[in-house]
Amino acid sequence: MKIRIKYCGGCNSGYDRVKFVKLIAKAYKDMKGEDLSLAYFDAEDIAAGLMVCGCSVCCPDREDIKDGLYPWYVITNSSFNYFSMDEAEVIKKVVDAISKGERR
Amino acid sequence: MMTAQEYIESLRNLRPRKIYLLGEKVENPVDHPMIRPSINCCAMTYKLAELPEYQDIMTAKSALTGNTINRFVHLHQSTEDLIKKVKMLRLVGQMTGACFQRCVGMDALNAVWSTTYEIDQKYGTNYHERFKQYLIEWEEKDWTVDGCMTDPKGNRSLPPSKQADPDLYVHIVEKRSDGIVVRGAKMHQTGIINSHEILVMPTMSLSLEEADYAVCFAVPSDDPSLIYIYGRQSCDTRKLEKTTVDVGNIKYGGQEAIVIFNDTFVPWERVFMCGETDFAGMLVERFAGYHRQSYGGCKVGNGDVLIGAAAAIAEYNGVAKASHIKDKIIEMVHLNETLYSCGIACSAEGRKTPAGNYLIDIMLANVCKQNVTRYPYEIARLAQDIAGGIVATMPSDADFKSPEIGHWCNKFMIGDAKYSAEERQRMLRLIETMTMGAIAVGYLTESMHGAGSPQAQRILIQRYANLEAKKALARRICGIDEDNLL
Repeated sequence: MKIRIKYCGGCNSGYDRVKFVKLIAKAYKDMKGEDLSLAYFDAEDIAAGLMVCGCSVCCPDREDIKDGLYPWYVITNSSFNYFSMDEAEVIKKVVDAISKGERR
Repeated sequence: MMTAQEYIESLRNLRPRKIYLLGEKVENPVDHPMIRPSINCCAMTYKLAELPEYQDIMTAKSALTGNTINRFVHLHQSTEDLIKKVKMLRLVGQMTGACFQRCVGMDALNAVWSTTYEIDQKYGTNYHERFKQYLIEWEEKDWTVDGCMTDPKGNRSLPPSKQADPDLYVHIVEKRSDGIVVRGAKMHQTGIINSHEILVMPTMSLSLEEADYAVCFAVPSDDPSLIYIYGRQSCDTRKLEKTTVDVGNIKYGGQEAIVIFNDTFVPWERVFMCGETDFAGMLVERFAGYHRQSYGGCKVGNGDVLIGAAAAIAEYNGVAKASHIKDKIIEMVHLNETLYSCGIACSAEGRKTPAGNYLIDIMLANVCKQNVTRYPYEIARLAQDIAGGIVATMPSDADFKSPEIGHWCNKFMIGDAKYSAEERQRMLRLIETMTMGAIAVGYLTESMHGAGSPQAQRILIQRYANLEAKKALARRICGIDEDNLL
């Protein structure tokens, strides 16, 4: 499974975004039994996009970025698609969501 | 959209209400000289929307119907909307020099919109759809709605369910097949007499045992069960005198009242939270956040008026060129624009909610309001400094107009002869009302306690400070943690 990662600019991040993405990749492997490949640019075989935001503003959530052939999910370490939740729940939501990711 | 005149007439068309002021029942609030300035003030939110030169800020396209609506009834669809809200509030604050009251409804609608959506997602309720239908009517009828939050609270060390009198917080006393019955009161209700509807919210985070207090609902302001007791303001009875000069702000003013819910029936279609205690805190935090943003607009507009009054009185006194006067006015401007910067910042850093509307940045909104609890007081102090002691010792307008002594008042009240004694008199009265008279209720005390007292903001600032992230920054910089970058 390959997913696209789009980080925010990180101007005032409240947590380590890179470390958090690593946690997601590890959780994916643990739960699904396969590696999660991360792409930082658009590619043919991407199943889903993750906007990894450092704070609640989620500034990269713009239509010009989301204009891809796959679903996007906007996350921080305490929210999934703007719903507040704890870190473990965010990771679980992400793994569930990208597992269902299908190219449009 | 309603015109200002239609708005004023719409208040006349409300059913008779139990409104008490100075111990007497008020039969005609619209024409009561102590109430009318606050109605004029709220009417300005309608008037400016009529005028082409203000429509870009005063109106918006409804997210629900696509119709052009007054921005005061708008669901914020972007950070640009949030910014325009602050600019609108500054504008109306400039045009009235007082609290125009309508922002509480706008702030409540945006908070209830997103919170009901999230309650429904968790519990499968249908509050959001109910609220959507209510909001469509609200937009179409261009209502002024009182966002109604603050309970009497009784003994502040006890939660609602432990109070000696359970009515000290609004609560459900009966659930029926067709709706609920609520009892209690809300304090300090800004503009409630001038509102068509009342949107009630809980006042604080609640625990599971306080389900009866976790209630959000709307009722018409002319519901027969409601009782209103009008709040006194400093110097308020000057509005009953023959002359308007001593009032200072001659047409506009603010308004607060207590509202009592004396076993008020609410049909289910107007109930938007009923026992979901875990969402009371979210609703309070969001409403308070929006309202704390509001103060970065309205109080700045009022501040513009006071700064203008201070600069004008300096000229009338003949001291405008004194360097210390110039410096004090610069300081007033700096403080005022700092508040505006906070209002704009928390808007620019706003975010989308799961329901789709936009929420301000909670941390920055609380910083904004924390500054508002301080800076208007300093601006007011500087205004009084520049005005001189005469701002508090000037004879009444009746003395100025007295055939016997009027000429003495005019002779000795003159400053720079380029300006009349009456101009000086009026400007001083404006500074007086904004810094210690009726308008100071809105400009100062409301700045202190409105949208939550200073400590309420400090609690939120602490909660959102994320000190762990800041400590991690420090640990890396001083070498405790590894720096993997360079």
